Amino acid sequence: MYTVILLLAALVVIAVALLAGVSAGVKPGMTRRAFVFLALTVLPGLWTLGLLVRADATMKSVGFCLGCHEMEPFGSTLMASGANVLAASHYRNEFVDRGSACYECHSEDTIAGAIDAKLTGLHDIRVHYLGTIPDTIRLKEPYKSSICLSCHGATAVGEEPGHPHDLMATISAGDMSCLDCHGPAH
Amino acid sequence: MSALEIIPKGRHATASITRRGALAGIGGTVVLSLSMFTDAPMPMLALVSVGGLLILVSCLAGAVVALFSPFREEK
Repeated sequence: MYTVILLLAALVVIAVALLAGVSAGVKPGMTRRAFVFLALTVLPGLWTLGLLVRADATMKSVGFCLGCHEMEPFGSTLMASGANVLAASHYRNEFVDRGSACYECHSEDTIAGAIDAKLTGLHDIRVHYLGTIPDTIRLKEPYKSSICLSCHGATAVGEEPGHPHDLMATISAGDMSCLDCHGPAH
Repeated sequence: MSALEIIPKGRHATASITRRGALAGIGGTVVLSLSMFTDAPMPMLALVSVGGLLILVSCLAGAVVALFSPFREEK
């Protein structure tokens, strides 16, 4: 639906820009300048912002992540059977949005986390097209427990039966992560 | 070549910038619209980059005309 709206808006933007271009010979009075500003700056700018919102959503999709063949083994684990595969249990039970499962678990829930995810994606694309894809694909740094805690909650984790009473302090100190006991994720 | 001047001189500078900006805006809109029909990373990023640059040119052209038109030679 959003795509259809964007396409219709694109037609309007194109039509107005075309009108501005065709009537370019009109003497540049105040009204004319305002129209040109609207036709060439405001409308295209606003439309582009709307498209970038959609593009951002597309780039968070599982299909986008799995567009690179080296990601296929990780994508296939989303459908693995057995409760001991974190990615599969989260995906099958819809603990995360299925449409953006990769992004939800591989980015921190902050503005900096979103920017870092985009930069990591750009790096991965560069390696895929211009570099050498490594035989073993690893995370660039140890998986951050803060991502788990953004959904599971520090209080809930600390009070979970079976967890040591000082677990949150240990995790906060970086001495262990959630995946040490609950892994592997894929 | 006068076609390569960023801000063309002469009595028709405003019209020239407006036409170039309109072309860039139309081209950028078309290219960005095409990016909605692919999920592949590189094509999508390439289309968004090229389209974004064209839209930027359009925005700059509109701003230049709105702020500085008519230019000296046109007055």
